[in-house]
Amino acid sequence: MQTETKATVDQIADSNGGRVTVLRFSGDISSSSHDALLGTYTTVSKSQPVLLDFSKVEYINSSGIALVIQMLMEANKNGQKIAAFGLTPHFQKVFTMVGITKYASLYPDEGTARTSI
Amino acid sequence: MDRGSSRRDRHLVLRAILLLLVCSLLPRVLAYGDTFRTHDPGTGSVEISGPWQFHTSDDMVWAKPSYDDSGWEQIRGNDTWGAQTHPGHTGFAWYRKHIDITGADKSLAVMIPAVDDTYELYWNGEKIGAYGKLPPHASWWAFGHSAVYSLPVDASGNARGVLAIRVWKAPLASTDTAKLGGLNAVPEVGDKAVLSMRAMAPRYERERRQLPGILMAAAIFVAGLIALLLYLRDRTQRLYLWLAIYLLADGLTGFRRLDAIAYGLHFVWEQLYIQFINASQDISLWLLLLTLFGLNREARWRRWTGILAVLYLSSQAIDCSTFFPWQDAGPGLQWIDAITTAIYSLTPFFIFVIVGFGLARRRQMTLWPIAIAAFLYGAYNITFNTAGQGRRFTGWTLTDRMGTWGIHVGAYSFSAPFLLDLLLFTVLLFTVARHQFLERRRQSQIELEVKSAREVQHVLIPQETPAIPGFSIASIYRPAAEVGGDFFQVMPQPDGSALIMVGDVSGKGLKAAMTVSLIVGALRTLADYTLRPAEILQGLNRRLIGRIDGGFVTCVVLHITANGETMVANAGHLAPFREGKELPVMGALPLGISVHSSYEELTFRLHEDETLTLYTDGIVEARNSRGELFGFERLTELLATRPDVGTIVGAAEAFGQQDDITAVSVTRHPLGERKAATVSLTAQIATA
Repeated sequence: MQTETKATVDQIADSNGGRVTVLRFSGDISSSSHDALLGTYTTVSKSQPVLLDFSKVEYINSSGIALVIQMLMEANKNGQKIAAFGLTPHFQKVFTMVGITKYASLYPDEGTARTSI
Repeated sequence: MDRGSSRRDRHLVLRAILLLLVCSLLPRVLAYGDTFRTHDPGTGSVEISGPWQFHTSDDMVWAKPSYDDSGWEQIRGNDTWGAQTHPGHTGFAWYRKHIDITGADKSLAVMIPAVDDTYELYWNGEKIGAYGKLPPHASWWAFGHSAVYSLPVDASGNARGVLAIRVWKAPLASTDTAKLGGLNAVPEVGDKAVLSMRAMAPRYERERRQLPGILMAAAIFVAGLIALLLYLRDRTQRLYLWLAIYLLADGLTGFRRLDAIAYGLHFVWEQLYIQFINASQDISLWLLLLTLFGLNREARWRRWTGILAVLYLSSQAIDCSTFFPWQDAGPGLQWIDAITTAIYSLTPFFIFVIVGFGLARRRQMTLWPIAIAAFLYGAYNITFNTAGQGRRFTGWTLTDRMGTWGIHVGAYSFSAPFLLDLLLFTVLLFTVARHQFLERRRQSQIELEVKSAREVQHVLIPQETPAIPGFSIASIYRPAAEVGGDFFQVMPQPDGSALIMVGDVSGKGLKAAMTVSLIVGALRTLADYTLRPAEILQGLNRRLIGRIDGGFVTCVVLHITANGETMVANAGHLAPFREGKELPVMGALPLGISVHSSYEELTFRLHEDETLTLYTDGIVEARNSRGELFGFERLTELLATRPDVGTIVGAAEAFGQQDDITAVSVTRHPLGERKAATVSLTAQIATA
């Protein structure tokens, strides 16, 4: 049974003291996650880097991956730096195969992502 | 004695005789001081008029006729002690009345009208009746009613003595006024049969007035049984279940108008009955409205409904637990009663939230009637319940006034709750019937779409392909419950090579099937011009841009020549395996997302006896009951054993199939075994 996607927005500082927006997702990501992903992304500032936190995401199906790609392409269009962390090895591999790494770097955890972005 | 005085004397005697005649024809009702005196009431009845000696507290000595009660206060018998001199008094109190009835027979009886809440009746110190039970094991009726008891008469036909009533009033509940306690009306004496009829007459009259409501309750109850049968026939139709619960509870609410239920239940059982049907009715109405307004599809609404239902039921359960020790209720128990009653009186406010959000979300005129009916029903009930809370402190009389609202036609009364209930019942049936009609039509459309999608799949998933010399090709396609978007094609070429494509369209149903048909058609056209996998993917990508509505297509294409030269290009699909090892194909965006996507080719030579395995994500994303994925590790371990496609698909299915599963294997035979080439395509497509 699918669980609802939840999204929260945090502001953190990167290693240089700059502001970074963190979109934290939890639950499953599927076709019904449109508002949680793209809706939340529209609310964040486009002038600062964005980190996507998937550490509490249990499952992402193909429609969910399509939404992630749409968000990354939107960020790419806005010239916004974007990266993801917290993906399981399974979904790191899936993300790599669908070419997401051309638009966003994948990091194992928040600390690494924060210092690298 | 002069003639004048003798005439006056005769007049006096005549007057006396006339007076005696009048008095003998009419029952005499004369009360002297504190003693009620009357002659045989015959086949009539007489009110025990005059004040009653009254004393709070309890002492069994007060039952005795010899007890001197002259120091007691006096109160009227036609109203409660709470409305007179002892507002809010609960517990014991005694009424005493000195009675002198002459010329009576054994049919003499006394009728005690409704009393708050229970009593024992004594005649000259002897207990002659009881109504309910007094503490320590108190039990009292939910609604007070008259009761008739025989009054002993001595051999001379006189009934002289003291009638004493030992009354006990239960602690006040949160909705009680302070004007309760003791006699509600004046007791009467008279013939037992007549009094028994008089005791029942108001109840029969009440039941007759309530006849429309009783008939309506029966109709609602029957409608509820029909809704329950409809649900039992098809248990996916929860709307029928909510409707059944609502209507059955509503019917049971209406049956409270029946005399046997209204006056046949003790306080505890009546309270449990009310709490049970109110909870069933309120919560099922929430679920009905959520479904009709389409809010039940949102987890947030389901969660909040669950939370409020738990809150409602918990407060009711706590409230119910106070009923049993209520006879000893102190301020603590009364506060618990007040708080829990306030909670479950206010939670039905949720109706307004559902209706408000529901209308805002689904601006359909057809939902306005149910919205209005539910609003009026909720508004009346919430106002009635909340206005009654703590009214002995607030002094509010709105509840009393609301109880009188309604229409009276002839002998029948149509109360406001009855009319609102009738309105909601009618509108509910109409709205549910309409909702089910639309749902059935939508379901038919879906079934038609699924059927069409399966027909498209039948055409697109290859059932047989000519053998390709030098190669054995095996494939298995296992669709999930819904028609999915997996596809594969095997296209032998005139030069002895083969073009093989495996892919997955995001989404399901007819839309996905039509996208597959577009891809297959485009592939066959493109294959006439090029056999380079990257060029084919670019061609497909161009054709899919703007046509898949936010979705995408992952796809891997390989071209393999008769001597094993293989080119592979990948558009976001999972990398094929060669002899149990994953090919190092580059990741790339799926088709249909970006017009600028480019695809890289991997070239290698497939040696004799080597096998390539292509598959879709339905295998690695099979999930077991614990939510674990089959995953790449298990697949890699499995492929290391060089299984056939049946074993691969079987393992994923056994693990927990969630999506379409497709596996294709291509094995190159040694040159001397070219004739052994086979193609085995197994596509399981449900036909129904």
